[in-house]
Parts: sequence; structure tokens; C-alpha cells
Amino acid sequence: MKPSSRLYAIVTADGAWANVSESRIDLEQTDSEADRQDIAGSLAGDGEAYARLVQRYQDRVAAQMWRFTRDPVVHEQLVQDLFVEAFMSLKGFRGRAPFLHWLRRVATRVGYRYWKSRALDREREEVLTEAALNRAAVPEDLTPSEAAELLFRLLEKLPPSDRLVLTLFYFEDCDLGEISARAGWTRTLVKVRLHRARKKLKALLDEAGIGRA
Amino acid sequence: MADPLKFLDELSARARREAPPRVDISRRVVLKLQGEVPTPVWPMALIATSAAVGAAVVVSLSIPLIELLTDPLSVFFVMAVNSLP
Repeated sequence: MKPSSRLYAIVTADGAWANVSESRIDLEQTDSEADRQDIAGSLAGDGEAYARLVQRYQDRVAAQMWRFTRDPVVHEQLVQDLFVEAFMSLKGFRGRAPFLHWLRRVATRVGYRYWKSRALDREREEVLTEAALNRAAVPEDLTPSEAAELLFRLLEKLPPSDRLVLTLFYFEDCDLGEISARAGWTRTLVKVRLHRARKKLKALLDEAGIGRA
Repeated sequence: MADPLKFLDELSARARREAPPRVDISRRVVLKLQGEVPTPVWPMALIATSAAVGAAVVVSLSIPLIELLTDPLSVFFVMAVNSLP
């Protein structure tokens, strides 16, 4: 079932929340059934089956990969790398959780690896951060895209592990359990890293004069 | 705004409303995966097998000739045969 059908079902339901929920449950079941068939097809070497899986999830994971870069060309390449890596690891998918959850873990791994391998262009980052910070009087004055750019540049100043935990926390709105699942870290480690990373970020903001009265 | 962390909460809430770029990479992924699948080895295997068989035949035929050429007594045997009435 396509997203447009999902919206149609919600809009035309006769005012009953139950109907909407049921349609969502049906949708998830349909997706998971379709996923199961396409995963089996992909493992059997059916390229079309994997193309269907990519089409079904590319927008959702592309949104997540946008947290790892602001360059559209790199972004597209990262999404592609993610699906190639997912295919290579597809045998390891046990089907205990929805396919999207598994994909998000792969996406986190690919993005995190990109951060760690990338040579930092500090000079460029400084310029962009300064420019962004100068415009950041209050978040309400920023467009969502400007706010995302500023947050991205701020987090970019931190080491990859701090940056990942804060990206998942602030950008993806994940709780401790979700961060733990996506990053493959224990809950305790996530808690410690989140605490330390927020302290570092707060110091960074203080230094830049952001958030002061 | 007095608290930097409150500023971050508001900034991130706004940032989450950004519409990320859409991608359509399903064809490219499949093409890339097809490119990474190892190409069939039959043509190379066929050429290698033919070459190996050919080499074996040449060696098996040339061994008696080499033995004949390198045997020092073979000249006497030829002469003895020729000298027979």
C-alpha cells in the first residue's frame, strides 16, 4: 500500500480513531508481509524484489541520512551505500523487529563510519559556524532548514561519538532505548555519553554566547 | 533565552521540521549490486582448460623425441641397424 492510500484511509475514515489505528495496523502488516516476500526474493537473487524494498524505504532512511551530511551529492551517495551494505548484510536480518528498525541501525553505522573516515575541513566549518551563529538570535527567527543547518554545524564540532548520540537525541528525537538500538551501544554507555556530550555542547554554546540572557 | 540547553531544545524542535531532500536510488542500487556480483568465469575457464590440454598433448609427444635426441647410444644403434646386410 502506498503512502497516498494511507492518507486516504485516514481522511475518509468516518471520524473513528479506531478505524485509523486499524488502517495503520493493516498497513504495517501489509508492509511486513511485502517486506518478507521481497527479502526472500532478494536473497534468492531477484533484483526487482530488492528494488521494491529500496523504493519502499528510501525516503524514510534518506531523512535519517540527512543528519550525517548537508551535501546533497554526499547524501545521495550515503543512501546508496546504506542500501548496498544492507543488501550485503540481508542474510543477518532475522525478522524479529520491523525491517525499518534494522535499516535504521545500518544507516547509523554507515553515517557514523562516514563521519569517522572523513577528513575534517576545519576552516570551512569555522566559517559556516560563525555565519550561522551570527544569525541565530532566537530559534523562532530561523526557518527549519536554517535551524537544522545551525544544529548540524554545532554538532559537527564534537567528536563522532558525542556527535552521534546528540544527533540521535536532538535531530531524531530518540530516547535512550532507541539510541542504544540504533548505535549498538548499551543503555548505560548511551546515558553516560549523552550526559557528557550535552555538557560539551553547552560549553560550546556558552563560548559562542548563544542562549545567554 | 537564559539556558543554552533550552535553546537547543527549541532549535532541534524547529530543525526536525525541515523537509529532507528526497532521493530515488533504487535503480542505481540494483545496478551497483549487479556490478559487484562476480562475472561468470566460463570463458576464461574454457580457454585455460584448452591451453592445459594442448600443453599436455605437446609434452607427451615431445618426450620420446627428446629422449631420442639426448640418448648418446642411439647413434650406435642407428649405425648398427644400417650396417646390417
